[in-house]
Amino acid sequence: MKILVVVPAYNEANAITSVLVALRSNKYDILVVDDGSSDATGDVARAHGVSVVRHLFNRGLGAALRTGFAYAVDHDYDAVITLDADGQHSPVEISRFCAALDRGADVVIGQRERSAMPLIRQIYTACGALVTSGLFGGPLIDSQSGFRALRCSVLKKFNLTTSRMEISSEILAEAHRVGASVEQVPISVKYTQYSMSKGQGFFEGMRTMWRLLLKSFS
Amino acid sequence: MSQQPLLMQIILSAIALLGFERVLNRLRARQLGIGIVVVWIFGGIIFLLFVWQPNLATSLSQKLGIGRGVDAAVYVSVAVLFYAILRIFLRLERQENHITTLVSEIALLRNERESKK
Repeated sequence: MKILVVVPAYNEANAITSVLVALRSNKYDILVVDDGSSDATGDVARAHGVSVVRHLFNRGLGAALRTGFAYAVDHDYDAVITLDADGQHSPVEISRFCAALDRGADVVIGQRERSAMPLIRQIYTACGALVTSGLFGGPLIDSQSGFRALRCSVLKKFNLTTSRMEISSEILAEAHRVGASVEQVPISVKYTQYSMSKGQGFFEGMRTMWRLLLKSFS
Repeated sequence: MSQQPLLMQIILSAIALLGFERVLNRLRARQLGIGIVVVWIFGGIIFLLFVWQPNLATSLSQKLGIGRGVDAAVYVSVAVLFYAILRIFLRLERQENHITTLVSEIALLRNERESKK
């Protein structure tokens, strides 16, 4: 199976090196989508010999993922694996996603271990799962997890329209709409002060919920 | 003896007439279609009817169980404004999506061009 690992990155010049070093020990192709960073994220990634696509200006996580998905489809990959550039995901666990894809899953979501999460993240995660399932149907899943795998044959059927954090829920909504099989695999997450500062806060969470409501109207 | 018109009725009528003039000017300049002009004129006539016959609005709102005509006008205005804001947000989201699609396409094309060099 031809797999592309997509790393959406915005101003991650300091953190992305360790992620790319860990990723390069795998045999998969890597694409960094530099979402209009004002630092040297793209240059750092290029120095590690990975493919880099750069947005003209910052458009958000959803935009970066959509660019990565389009790249994978254009270059005839079989599946895409996405993970965050801030180092909170462990590239070693990619094998779990590949195993789930081999078992026939179309979409694989990394389910974060709840007990290891800070309380505030547990609340956000529960809210995200409830809102996503309530608005778009489907089971309660760790909808905001950034570590996921998607089969390109299913991606071609998706109609992704969001540009920011709400893409995580939209992916599950689209998977439910097209009848794709969704599997969860357990993952570990490293919560550092840095990764916590990059994630969704309360207000970003509210904005995400509002955009999901609009999406359910449109 | 006929009742003297209230100042508010005159002001609201003037606003409606200015609206009519603007709509007709845009029709003459072919900036508006006849369909939407008919809708605006019809809306304006209903508005003038309620301005000059306030009892009509009151009896209508009482049939709806609202009470005063002015209350009904406020409720309808709030509902219309909510709907208008929702439409604006939806349009903004569509524009955002279009901008994202453009940014993404440009990024992929530039990547392709660079990889061919």
